[in-house]
Amino acid sequence: MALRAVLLRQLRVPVQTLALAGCKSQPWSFSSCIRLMSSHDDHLSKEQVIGRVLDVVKSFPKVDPSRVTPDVHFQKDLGLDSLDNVEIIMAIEEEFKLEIPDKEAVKIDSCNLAIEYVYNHPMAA
Amino acid sequence: MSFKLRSVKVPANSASLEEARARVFDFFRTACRSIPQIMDIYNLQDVVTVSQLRSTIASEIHKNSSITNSKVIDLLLFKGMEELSNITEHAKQRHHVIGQYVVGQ
Repeated sequence: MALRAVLLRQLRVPVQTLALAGCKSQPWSFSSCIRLMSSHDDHLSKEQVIGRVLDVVKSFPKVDPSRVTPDVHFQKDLGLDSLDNVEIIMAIEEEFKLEIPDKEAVKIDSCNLAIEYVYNHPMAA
Repeated sequence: MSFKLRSVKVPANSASLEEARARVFDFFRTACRSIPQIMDIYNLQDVVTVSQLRSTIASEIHKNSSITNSKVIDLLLFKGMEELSNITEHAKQRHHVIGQYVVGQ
């Protein structure tokens, strides 16, 4: 089983090197050099963030997907528990590869606030 | 390795239900953040997903949701923390984890 995991990890490497090779084969100009070294051009767009946050909320087992809108409140509109609230925030953390500190996580009560937070976070992926 | 989870801490002594609630959420977040490590240790990638394990942990916590005595909640948290430490220190084996938290959920 552990061997299989190691083998699978080896198999995943070629896809990444292919993407890198594709990127570097573009003609080298001064502006594309700058872009290659910049880490600021992969900000998520607002629609992407909204789409992905809503997907996370809809795939939560206790939630009725048809009632999910961008300004729905987790506890008031969706009838969730405070623990379910924390669980949704953890699911969002997993989706966007973030780590939300506890002080901020307490304030996130609705889809609105979640989308705002993720959109304003510089490390959202 | 991951002994930091159980490193010597002052035992929890919640003054109010609100403080106990905050401790429960802290415990839940700690447990969720160690899920990727657990999946790695026991090779559960093909057996279960991170969100399923997260739901399992949440339902275990929900089972005790009717308790109002903050000292009882502290004790349950201590037991939960002990269980989590055991799992992350690899003191359990794969069939224990699968039998207790994957099958029959």
